[in-house]
Amino acid sequence: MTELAIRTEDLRRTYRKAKKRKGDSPDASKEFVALDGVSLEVRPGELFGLLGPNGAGKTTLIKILTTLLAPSSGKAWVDGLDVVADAKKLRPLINMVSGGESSGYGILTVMENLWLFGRIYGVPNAIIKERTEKMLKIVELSDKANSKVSHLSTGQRQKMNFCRGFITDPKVLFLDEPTLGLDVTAARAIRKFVKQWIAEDTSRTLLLTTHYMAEADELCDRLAIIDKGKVLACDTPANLKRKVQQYPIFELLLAPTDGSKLDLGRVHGVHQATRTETPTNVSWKVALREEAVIGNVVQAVTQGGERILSLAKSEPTLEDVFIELVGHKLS
Amino acid sequence: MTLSEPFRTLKWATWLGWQIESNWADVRLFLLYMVLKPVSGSMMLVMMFYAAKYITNGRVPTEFLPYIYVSSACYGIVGRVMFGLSNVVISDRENYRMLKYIFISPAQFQAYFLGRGLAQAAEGVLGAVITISVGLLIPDVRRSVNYGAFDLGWLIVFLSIGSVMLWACGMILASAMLNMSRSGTFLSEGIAGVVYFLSGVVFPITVLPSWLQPVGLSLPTTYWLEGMRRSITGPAPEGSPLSKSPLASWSNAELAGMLAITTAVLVVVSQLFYRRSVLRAWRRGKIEEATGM
Amino acid sequence: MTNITPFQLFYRAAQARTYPRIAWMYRHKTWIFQETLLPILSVSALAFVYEWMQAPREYVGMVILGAAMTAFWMNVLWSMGGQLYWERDSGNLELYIMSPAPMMSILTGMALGGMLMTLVRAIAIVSAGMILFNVEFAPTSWWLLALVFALTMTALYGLGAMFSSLFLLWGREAWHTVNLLQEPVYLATGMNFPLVALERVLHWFIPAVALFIPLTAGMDALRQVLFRTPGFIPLEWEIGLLAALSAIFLFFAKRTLAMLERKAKEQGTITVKWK
Repeated sequence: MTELAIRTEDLRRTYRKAKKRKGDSPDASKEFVALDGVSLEVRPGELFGLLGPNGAGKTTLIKILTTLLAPSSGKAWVDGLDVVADAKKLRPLINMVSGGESSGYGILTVMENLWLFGRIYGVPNAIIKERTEKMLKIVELSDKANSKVSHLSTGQRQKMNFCRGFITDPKVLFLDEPTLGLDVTAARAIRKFVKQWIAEDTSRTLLLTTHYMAEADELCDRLAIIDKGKVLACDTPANLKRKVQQYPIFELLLAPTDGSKLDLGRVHGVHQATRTETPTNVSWKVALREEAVIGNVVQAVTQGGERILSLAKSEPTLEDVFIELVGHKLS
Repeated sequence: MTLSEPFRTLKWATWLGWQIESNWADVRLFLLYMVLKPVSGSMMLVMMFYAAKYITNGRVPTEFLPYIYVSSACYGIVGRVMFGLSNVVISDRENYRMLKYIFISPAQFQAYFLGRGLAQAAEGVLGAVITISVGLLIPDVRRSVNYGAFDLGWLIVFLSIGSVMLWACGMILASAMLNMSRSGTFLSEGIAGVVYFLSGVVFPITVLPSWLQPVGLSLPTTYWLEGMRRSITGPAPEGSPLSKSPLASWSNAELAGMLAITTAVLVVVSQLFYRRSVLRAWRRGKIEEATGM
Repeated sequence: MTNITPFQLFYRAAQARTYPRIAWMYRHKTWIFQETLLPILSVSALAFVYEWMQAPREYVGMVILGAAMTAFWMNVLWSMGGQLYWERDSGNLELYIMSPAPMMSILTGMALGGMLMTLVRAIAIVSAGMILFNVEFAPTSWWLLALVFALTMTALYGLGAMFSSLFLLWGREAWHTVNLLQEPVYLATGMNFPLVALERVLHWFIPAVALFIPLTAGMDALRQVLFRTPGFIPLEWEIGLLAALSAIFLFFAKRTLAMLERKAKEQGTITVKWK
C-alpha cells in the first residue's frame, strides 16, 4: 500500500522476563506486553502525534517502525515497505531523533559528529556541510560548531542530535520527545522549523511523540493517544476535544466569603460543579447541561450574597482529553 | 558526619561492587572467569618453563616453576585492585553515569572506592587461591613445593599489609583517573606493567640490569611478593640461583617491616593526592564528564 | 538520500567510522606511551624469563613475535567486538543499525581506526626486541613472510567481524566472553612458546583444535619462516589452512551479522543499555 506513509496492523510486542526477580509477586507475569494490537495509519505529508504516559509503548512503536526492534506479531509498513522484510530498503528513507539522547562522540566536535552521521547515509560532504550549517543556525548552535561534544550541556547535545535527524533529509522522520531538555526559545524554534519542514515538501511525513500537550496541540495534524500498549483514540486535536466535552464548562472566580454555604452543584441544570478555595479567592468549575443554565448559576451566586470576580467559558484541552481517556494526568 | 557513615558507605559500596561483578553472567561463567582466566595466564608461564627446559635439555632448575607460578597467581591480586579502582571511576562516570550522584550524596566518597575495591580484591584473592590450587595439579609444581614451609601466620600478615598497600596504590590511580578521560587507563596498565617488570614477579630481580635492581627494591610490591612466596612455598633452596636474590637473606619480620613502612608512606601519599585530585576534578567539572571514547 | 552505489556507501561509512579513532589519536597523544613503552615493558619481562632460563635467543624472538601478533588479536577483540558494546551504551549503535550503511562497513571503519595504533604497537615491540635483546628477524623469504602475515590478518579480521555480531545479541556477557578470550587464547595459540610444547606437555588435541584460530596457525607459520624452528604442522599446510579460514570467516561474517542482528531485534537487545 503506497498511499500511506506509515501503517501498522495489529502490532504486538512482548518482552520475556529473563528470570524471576526478588520482590516479584508469586503470580507476576513472565511476559511484559509493550504493544497490544496497535493499528494506525499515517498519510504522507502528515505531522502525526503520539501521546501517552511513560511506559505506554510510544518508544517501542517507534523502534519497530525504525527497524530497531522486531514486532512479536502484526505488521508494519513505512513508505509502503515492510519494516521487517524490507528493512534495508527502508533505512535510506528514514531517520530518528530521541529526546534526552546521549549519542555522539564526546571527543569529536559538533560538526564532526554531524558529518559522521551524514556519511553513514552516504550524503556527499558538500551537502552535509550545507545542511549542517543551516540546521545549526536554526537551533542556535552555530557558535558551538567546533566545540567538542563532551563540553556541551545536555540541552546543547539534544540540539545537535535534533540536527542529526535532518541532515539526511529523510522522507519519514521519527521524533521521540525532541524538545526534551530544551529551553523555551529553543523548543519554540524547533517547533517552528518542524512545521516549516513538513510544509516545504508534501512527501515528507513526521511522527512525533511528546509529553507536552501544548506542543501536540500546536503541531499535530492528527494524534493518537496510547496507554498500556493500546491506542485509545486517534483523531485531530479539535475532534478529540469535541468528543470529550459533552457539556459546556464555565469557570467562576468568586471573592472569598466567610461561612459560605453556596453549592452550585444543586443549581438546576448543572451537571457537575467543583469548588477550589485559596486564601484570596474561590473558584468554581461548572459543567452545564446546556449553555443557558449559566444564567441560573449567576443568579444563585448573587442570591447567595457572593461577588463574582470573573466568569469565563473553558475550552477543553488535550490534557482533559487525556485524563478522560487514560484516567490520570500525564506526569 | 557520624562515625558510622563511612562504614555504611563501605558496606553498600562493597555490596554494589560485588553485584556489578557477578551480575553479568550466570554462576558457571563467573566461575570460568575466576578459574580459566587466571589459570591460563599462569599456565602460559608454565609452558614457557617446559619449553625452555626441553630446549636446554633439562638444565632449568625445578624450583623456578613454583616461583613463577605462585608469583603470577599473587600478581593477579595486584592487577585486579589497581585496575579495579581506576575502572570504577571510568565505569561509574562514563557507563553508569552515577559517579556525580554518589559525589553529591552524603556517602563518604573515599569509603565508596574502598568498598568497590574490596569487592575487586575479594575476587582477586579467590582467583589466586583457585590458581594456586590448580597449579598443585601439575606434578612438577606439586613435587617442588615444600609443604612444611607453608606459614599461615605470615601469609595473613603479608596479605593484610599488602591489601592496604594495594588499596593505597589503587587510590592513587583512581584519584588520577578522576581528572583523566577513559583513555587514561593507560596509567593503570603502565603501573601494573612496571610492577610486573620490576618486582620480581616472573623472574628474580637479580636478572635485571644492575642499574634497575635498586628501582625494583624501592617498590613495596617487591617485598610483598617475596613475602607471599615465602609464606606459601618457603624460602629458596640452598645453592639454588634463587638464593642469590638480595632479599633472600632478609627474615620475614624484616620483609614485613619494610612492607609496612612503604605501605604507610603510600597511604599518606594516597590521601594527600586523593584530596587534591577530587578538588581539582570538582573545579574542572570532570566528575560528570563523559568522553564517549 | 542521493543515489549512490553500494561501494560508495560502504566506503563513506567506513571512512566516517574510522574518523573518531584517528581524531582521538591526534588529540590525545598519551596512546603513544600506551602503545609503545607499556608493551615493551611486558614483553621485556617475558623475554627476561627466557634469558633467566638460558633458553636460545630465538625463544626471546618468539616472545616478541607473540606480543606483536597479539596486538592485532586485541585490536580485533576490542576495536571491533568490544567497541560495539560501548557504542550501544552510548546510543550510537541504534543509529548505525537504523542507517543504510552495512554493518560490515562500520566494523571495517572500527578495525581500520584501531589498526594504525596496532601497527605502531607491533613495530615498537619488534624494534625494541631487536635493539634490546639482539633478536634477529631473518625470514627464509620476505614474500613468504608477507603472504603468511596477510592471510593471518584477513582471517583474523573475518573472525572479528563474526565476533562483533555476538555483541548485538548478548550484552555484558559478550564483553566478558571476549575478555575471557585473551589469556586462554594466548595459551592455546602458543603466544610465547612453540606450539609443539603444548603437544609435549598436554595433548596434541589442544594445539590441533587451536589451529582453527587464525592467530595459532599464523604465529606457528611465522615462527617457521622467521626462526626456522619446527612447527606443529608443515608450513604449506598452515598457509593452506589460513587461506581456507580467511574465506570461511569472511563468508560467514556477513551472514552471522545479519542473522544475529535479526535475533537482537527480536530480543530487543540492540538498544538495551547496561545489559
